[in-house]
Amino acid sequence: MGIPVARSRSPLRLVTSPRREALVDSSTLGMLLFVGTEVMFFAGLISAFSIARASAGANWPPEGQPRLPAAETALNTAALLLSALTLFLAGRAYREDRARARAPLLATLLLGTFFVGFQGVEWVSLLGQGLTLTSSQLGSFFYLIIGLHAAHAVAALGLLAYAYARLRRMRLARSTFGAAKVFWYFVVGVWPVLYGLVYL
Amino acid sequence: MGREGLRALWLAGFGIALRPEVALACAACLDPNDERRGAFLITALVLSALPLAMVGSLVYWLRRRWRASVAGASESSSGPGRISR
Repeated sequence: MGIPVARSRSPLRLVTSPRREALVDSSTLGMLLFVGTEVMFFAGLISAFSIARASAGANWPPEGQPRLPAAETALNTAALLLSALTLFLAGRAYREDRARARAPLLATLLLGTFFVGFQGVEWVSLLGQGLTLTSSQLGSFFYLIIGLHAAHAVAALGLLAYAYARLRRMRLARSTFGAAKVFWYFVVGVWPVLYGLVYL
Repeated sequence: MGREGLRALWLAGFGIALRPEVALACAACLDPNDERRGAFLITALVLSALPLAMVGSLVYWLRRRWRASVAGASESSSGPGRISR
């Protein structure tokens, strides 16, 4: 004897609702939070630099110290801004046809590498002219702030290179690409502020 | 603490509030160097507003995405064939 089971004669059947997608994937959200802390980190450095520069008054840059190459770095700034544009194009292409995202992503990588390489050349030149980490307040702040930005740029380039390698094998997840994009946009976004304050 | 103790504490607090003095806790607020004082003020404002602006932007962005997601879900659920017979 089995337990009687009531059979529904209703013509309606239960339809389960489709799983709603997450508002933002974990990698991108994690990177956004990380970038938020980095923004505050750079804001603290910029604050210290601004007060030190204001304290120096007319004696800035300090006597006997080389002038920072603002014109040459403007070209480098343009390359970095261009890399943000190519990354934007890569993101748009990725949504439509992943294979088409390769070229703009590679262009972003090359422009970013050019930026970091150009900065390396600039540093060698400045060191040769006597601007070192301990030569003056300008040197200390310059190598600290610009150096930390360069370290972020190198890390972000590593992430973009990883994303590019995955894309070549057509295995790039949207979340990984999203996180890499956020990091690179941060590197690009903070640079004009640093350039305006430190170089000009 | 008893009732008398609380009353004494309240009176002491009230007495202190009646005798305010300028507290020179801020090293740069009364700086005679105008440029440095200005830089300090601006950076203090930026450092105060920046985290609020970032959190606000994130909340606004998530809210927009959530609204778009809800609108998309209700559009798909109101379409034909939602309840199969």
